[in-house]
Amino acid sequence: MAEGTLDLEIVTPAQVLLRAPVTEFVGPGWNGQFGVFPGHQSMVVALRPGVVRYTLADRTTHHIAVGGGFAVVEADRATLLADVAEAASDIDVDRARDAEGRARTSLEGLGLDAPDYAEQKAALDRAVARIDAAAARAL
Amino acid sequence: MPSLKDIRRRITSVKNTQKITKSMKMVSAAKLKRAEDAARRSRPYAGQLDGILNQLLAGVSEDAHPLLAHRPVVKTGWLVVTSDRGLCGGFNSALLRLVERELRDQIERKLEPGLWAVGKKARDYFTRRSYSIKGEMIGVAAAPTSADATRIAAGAIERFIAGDLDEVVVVYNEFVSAMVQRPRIERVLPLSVPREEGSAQVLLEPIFEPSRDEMLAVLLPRVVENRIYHALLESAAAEHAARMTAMEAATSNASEMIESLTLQFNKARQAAITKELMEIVGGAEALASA
Repeated sequence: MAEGTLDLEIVTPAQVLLRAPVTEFVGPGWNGQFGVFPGHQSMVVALRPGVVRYTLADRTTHHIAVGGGFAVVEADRATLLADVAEAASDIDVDRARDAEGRARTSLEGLGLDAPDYAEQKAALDRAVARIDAAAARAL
Repeated sequence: MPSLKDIRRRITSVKNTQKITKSMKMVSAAKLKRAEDAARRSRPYAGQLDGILNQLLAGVSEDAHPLLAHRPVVKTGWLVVTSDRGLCGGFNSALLRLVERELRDQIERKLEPGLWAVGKKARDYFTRRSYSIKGEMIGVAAAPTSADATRIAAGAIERFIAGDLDEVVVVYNEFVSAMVQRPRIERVLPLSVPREEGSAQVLLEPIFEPSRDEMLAVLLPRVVENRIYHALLESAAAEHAARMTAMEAATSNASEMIESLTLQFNKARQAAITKELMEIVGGAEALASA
């Protein structure tokens, strides 16, 4: 591990998406965004669907859209377990927008306690996260 | 003795069958590789998830969350994972016999098992024997995704929490190696709290966000999903391995059969030639002596 970095790992059930030393990262925590620098106190955070931003040692910043999941943070390493994750550079914005539109349409007819509501809401959140990640990359 | 034409026709037909078994074997080999890769890629996630689980459950009692509740077992939910397609040797039959034995045993003990079939073979087997099947999932067995597992898990969790089931077990073929598959019964609900082995190595309690209890509510369903996903992946890899082995055996059986048929064909041809010669010689002799 290089000085001033921590090892960040992003893992989904289907693959290990990222394993790299980073100087900092920001993730969508349960109670809002949280940022982590090397030497952080241990913590376990539940993630909401959103965008993870991380900075490599060469100071380039990258974005990854994640579905819900968990982050385990220790002083010199952090592991993000996500249901799904997609690097911003791989995201097809048109498809994400389609998914967002579909989820919004099906949400409109549903009451808050409809059995499908949670599922559709999660689909919507994931689509929005992907659009946000792609947009953040374009900035 | 069959005629030359009959034997030739049989050889052609066995050769055609062999072509099919050979290509099925190669297709299964490719699919096995993909299934093994999928299983390997899923391991880091499963390992990390268990890590968080252990951290969260340290010192937690069984009533901390409904999915941890151990009740006296009357109603067991059996998730039986088989393949959709046949031609894979004893892959399904060994597992199905095992499940049926367990079911009979539970029924005899006045328990109320319920059946959920993943894969056509499980559904057909138990339908033929007039067991009632509570649910089925067809078309996922050969290449399962984590979304499939999530759907299965959601149903199981709902019934478990409602009290319709006291435990849920998943029965699947474990992929031991390309040659060996082993039926395995694994309980996925209730989740058991791992017993500490005196290793209270947590010096500083990590920060939990949200609180430990809320976190359990988010994490535990994921753990159940992941266990089921793991079972589906294992079963898929085992299925392709079993089919590959079965097709390999079928191909070499066909080779043997072609060999013995060819021998038979040559003998018959030789016999025909000899017979013709005898007739010519006999005819010539008859002419000469006339």
